[in-house]
Amino acid sequence: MTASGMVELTTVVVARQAFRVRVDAAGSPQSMVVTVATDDGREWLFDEPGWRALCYGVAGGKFYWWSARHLVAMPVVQEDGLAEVRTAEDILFAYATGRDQWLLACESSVLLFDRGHEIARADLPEVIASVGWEASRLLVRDVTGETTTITVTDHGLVA
Amino acid sequence: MSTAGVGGLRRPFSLASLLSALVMLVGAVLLGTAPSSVLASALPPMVSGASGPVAYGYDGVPQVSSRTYMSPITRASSAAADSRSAALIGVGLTPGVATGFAAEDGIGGGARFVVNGAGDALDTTRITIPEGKFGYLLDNPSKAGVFRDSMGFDKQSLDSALRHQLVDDFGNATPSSPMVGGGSKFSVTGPITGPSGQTWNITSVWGVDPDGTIRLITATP
Repeated sequence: MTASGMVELTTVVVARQAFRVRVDAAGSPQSMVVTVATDDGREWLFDEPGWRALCYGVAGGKFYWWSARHLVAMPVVQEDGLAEVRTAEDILFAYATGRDQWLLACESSVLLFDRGHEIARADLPEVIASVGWEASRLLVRDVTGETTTITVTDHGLVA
Repeated sequence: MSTAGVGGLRRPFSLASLLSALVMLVGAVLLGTAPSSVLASALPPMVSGASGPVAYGYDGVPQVSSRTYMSPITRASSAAADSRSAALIGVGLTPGVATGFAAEDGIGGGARFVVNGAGDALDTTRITIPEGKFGYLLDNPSKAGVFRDSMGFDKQSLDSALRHQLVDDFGNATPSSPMVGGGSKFSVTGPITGPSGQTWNITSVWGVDPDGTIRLITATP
């Protein structure tokens, strides 16, 4: 595959805002360059770990994306800044659970962040295969088929 | 004395007492006062020997472990020995650096117990890498790019590399944290060079199950 073949372009529209995401994975698995541009002329450039594909989410009118170790919520209006969360573990799934609050299902743990800071975590004994929600409870299934239920509150996690 | 550890990862002695035992052992051997028959005669309860865990070599073949120099560590509880070990720390050994003790043969013929600066002892005979982990690390698209394609690992070489990393980098292991459902979890980070010659800084995450097994959970750049 040529370097040009490793460039992926994705357009995501949230409400009336369009985000054009360009992922240059020529440096993978070490790194990838993510460029996000809006149609009002704003543009951001990120150097991200390249061993996991970029993932996308939309919640509460906000567009967000995450790489292996970095979650970025894009601003809705021009005056807003980026909201970011960095982790030491690979992020598998990311959920916005409140204003400036994020629940991250990482490779073998579940982390709750508030305003960019980790406020709670649940360490699991195995790698997470999939997650789902049942009201405020997160159902985590690991690669052995075991399911762990984690109750998510504003202030913490109860496993 | 802390008894916080479970099974394969435990803190049965203070680092000072372990180091003092080493001092005593070296001294005894130099003075010719510690024949091997004496050294092997008073194993502490933590070493279960023939009735203990099965040791696995890097090839995954169960091995019968053999005892050698364990009894000096048992003697290390005296105040005099502790004061000598404190001096030893001052002149040579740095807390936080893992120290292998020839306490009992471990995997690959190395020390069975490895002690870090926090006083945690790693029983290398309890290390296991579940079979499914190799498929996960070598075939999963999110992992294969690093472990297989970049580093050039196959199952056998990856097994060996991860076991060696745990032992070699145990000195900077993270503190253990409790796992949901029991046991605890820690990780070690350090550079690993694969068969391809590529070097990555790899973090491997290990679970210490309630039965003492030290089980690989995952590895990641």
